[in-house]
Amino acid sequence: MPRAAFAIEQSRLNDRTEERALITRVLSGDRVAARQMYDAHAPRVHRLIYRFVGDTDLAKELTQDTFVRAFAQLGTFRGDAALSTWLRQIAVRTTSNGMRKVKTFRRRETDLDEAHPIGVTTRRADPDLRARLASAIDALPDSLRLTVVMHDIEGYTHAEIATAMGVAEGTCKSRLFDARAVLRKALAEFADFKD
Amino acid sequence: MMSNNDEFDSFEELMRDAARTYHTPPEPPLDEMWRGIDREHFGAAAPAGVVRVRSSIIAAAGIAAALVVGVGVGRYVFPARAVDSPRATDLVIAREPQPRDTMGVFVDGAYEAATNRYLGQTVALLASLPREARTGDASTRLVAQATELLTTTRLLLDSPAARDPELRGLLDDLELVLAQIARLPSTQRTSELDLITETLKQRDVVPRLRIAVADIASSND
Repeated sequence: MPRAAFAIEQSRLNDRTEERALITRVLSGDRVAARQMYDAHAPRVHRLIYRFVGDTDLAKELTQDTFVRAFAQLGTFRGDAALSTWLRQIAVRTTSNGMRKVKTFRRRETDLDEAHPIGVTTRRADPDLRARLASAIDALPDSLRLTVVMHDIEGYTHAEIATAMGVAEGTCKSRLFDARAVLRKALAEFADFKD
Repeated sequence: MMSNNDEFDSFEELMRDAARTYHTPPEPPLDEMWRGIDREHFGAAAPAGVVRVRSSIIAAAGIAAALVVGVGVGRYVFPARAVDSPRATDLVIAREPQPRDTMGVFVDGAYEAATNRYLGQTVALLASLPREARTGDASTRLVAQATELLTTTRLLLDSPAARDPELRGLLDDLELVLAQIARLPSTQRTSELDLITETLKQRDVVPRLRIAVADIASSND
């Protein structure tokens, strides 16, 4: 094994060992360790959730739910994958369920035909292409939107997205393809893309 | 308003732009979220040895006020001798209140505010350490702040607050770290700061500080 690769592998092993030690402390009820774990992962989790929901309060609530669940289920974490991967799975599941509840709630309150897609703001009248894209992403079905957000906005790989969403990598690729097709169509009358 | 429709030649370019502009995340409210998580996960059954600071447990107001005044007086009167001076017991009224609860935690509004302010300032100072170590920018201001906070730490250690074993342990560690910073020589500050940063990591000082701040904040909710 080349020296650089060996060093990376070694550092990965050390990280995993430290991670295991931290998990053991959290499981024994150590709040300091729990806070350390939270500090290490919460910014990334919150970022992903916010990108998806686009709402400050909702992102905060879903991030909290993610960690409450994670701490409650930490004993079931087997360590096959990195802790960050496991947390991302919980975050995606929590966010998807949360959004479903929000939609159901809103559906009860408003006529579905007139309901705006969930997101921060509606920009229907805005002529700006950037804003039209944002509206088009907001209007995508959740599974497509999550795929676009994770891949194109947050830069996750198909493998990472597939693991987080619990689907095959091929499904993830085809969702991204579909999502982009919908977005292109939504923007077609406003832009003449060269690609 | 000018449209940016001509700005993007390709769809890919527009998507790359979206990575910067679509639902741009704000700074995560870490402490605020942690309070909720802490309450839900640990709130019902805090592990043994963890004492949560609660506003419902109120100490004698006079003692707390004296502590706050003492901290203030200490800051103005004795800033220069802070580093090498013994603990400033002379600034605190010696009479201690009788505990009103079985856990012996002494907190009231005025005391909470002083402790919270102190912890907040200490978090800010310690959080700036890695950056200062990296840039080699350990300033005189940093040393002055540490000296000031060290005085407050010693006042708190001599106050009823130190009866809470969690807080006392934290204050002991902070005293050590702040004294190290306060004694930093004007040369070689960067390497010294690296060592201090390492100490902070090993002793989990910053997470413990954050928990203490969250405890006090949640007691005010």
